[in-house]
Amino acid sequence: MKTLIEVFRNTPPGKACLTLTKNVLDVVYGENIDYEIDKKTDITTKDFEVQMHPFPSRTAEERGIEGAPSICINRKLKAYGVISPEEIKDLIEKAKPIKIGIIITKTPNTNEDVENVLAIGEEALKAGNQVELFLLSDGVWVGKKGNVLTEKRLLNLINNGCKVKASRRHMKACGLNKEKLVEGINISDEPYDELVDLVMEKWEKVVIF
Amino acid sequence: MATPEDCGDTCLIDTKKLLEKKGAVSAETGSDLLILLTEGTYGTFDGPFNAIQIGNAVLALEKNATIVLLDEGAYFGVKNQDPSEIELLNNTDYIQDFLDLGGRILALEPSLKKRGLLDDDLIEGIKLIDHSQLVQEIEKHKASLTF
Amino acid sequence: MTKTLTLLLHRGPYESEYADLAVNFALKAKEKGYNVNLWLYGDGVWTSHVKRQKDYPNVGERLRKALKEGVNVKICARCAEARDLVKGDIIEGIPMVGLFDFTDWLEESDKVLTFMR
Repeated sequence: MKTLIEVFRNTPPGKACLTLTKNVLDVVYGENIDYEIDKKTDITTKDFEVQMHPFPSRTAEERGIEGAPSICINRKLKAYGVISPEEIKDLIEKAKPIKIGIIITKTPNTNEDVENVLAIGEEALKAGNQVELFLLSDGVWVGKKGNVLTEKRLLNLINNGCKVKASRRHMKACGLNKEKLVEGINISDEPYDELVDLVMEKWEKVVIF
Repeated sequence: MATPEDCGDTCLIDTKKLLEKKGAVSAETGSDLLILLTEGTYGTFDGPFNAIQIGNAVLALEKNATIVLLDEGAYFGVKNQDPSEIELLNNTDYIQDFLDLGGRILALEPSLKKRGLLDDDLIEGIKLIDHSQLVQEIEKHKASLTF
Repeated sequence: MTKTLTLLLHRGPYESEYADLAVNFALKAKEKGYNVNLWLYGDGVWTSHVKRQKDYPNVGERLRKALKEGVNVKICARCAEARDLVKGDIIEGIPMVGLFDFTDWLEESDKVLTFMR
């Protein structure tokens, strides 16, 4: 999961804004690399995504940013002023991914639950978290191949690292088997056992729909 | 932390204001209780009513509580509700208590939009959010309930 | 220290799988050694009304087992009163209490789950 660093700068960026940018890029690239710190373009590396935003801006408002220069890490932690590379590394550590579990208990097409779960999953991954879905009860239908509402987005989530598990006994009850589900869904033979472990030990946050 | 000397001539931080902020460089605390409310109208009265009773109980104990209106829950936040003729209790009274006690009510914008509801249709004090902001609530909350 | 799980059941027996999901989840968590609380709320209070023996698997039987295994079960008194559910009607060992008993549980829990609608 990449760390997202959003840098908020005045227009045009003054000395402090540029120094902060340099410090961020020091952390992202390591030192001794040439780069243009006044450029507005976003940067993507193996471990980082850096976005430059003006202050004020819609993004600044969404993050609750009240001044520039400033940074926001993984949409979670904000810091103001000319922060040193060491402090930036410390903040990155504090803004680590959170393990979020989402249990789905309903079929996909009758209500907004599944749309919301897919959107939450997408946004949670974008924000650098780890997301797992557990399909329980009628929720197993969310994994069905060919469902126009869910298939593409679910496959996308799986490809982006979201783990999806489905309860075998509920699949059996519904007349489903692994071949009828999208690729990449794991089957749980002991859903209650596994779910208790996930809820109580593995997941830091859990929501149920 | 930034000092005025760090800022060049084109940077205008109000550092005094920011230095006064407690924990400006730390994660904000989230809700003690996050209620995801997916039911909303008087046809499904029980869920929202029971949900907000819990919300108000948590606030009475001086913990913080947030209700997120999504899916049909969008309707729960509509202003000028008057169920007197169908002889049900008025949600608005409880919503006002909840807000007055310091609770937050957030409404998921996509849920409102597809129901033709606008900010203007909602009780004052309800804030609109998108999915990424909902994720932030989930990341920070302590316990959640779904109704 | 042993972790605590609190479950809220908001649906009655037979109308959906939620009552079974809640009680089965409670039983499994208890079996694995956690402290488990189960709050019967709204129409969930009716689950306690299923107290007689039957020839088929039923959630009342599972709820009685959960109580025996040490799951703490409580009923919202307001919800019970609204439905005229009284002590003699329900499975023994489930007190009818106020909402602040539930908020106490919330306070002490590591995780909370709802079995909903």
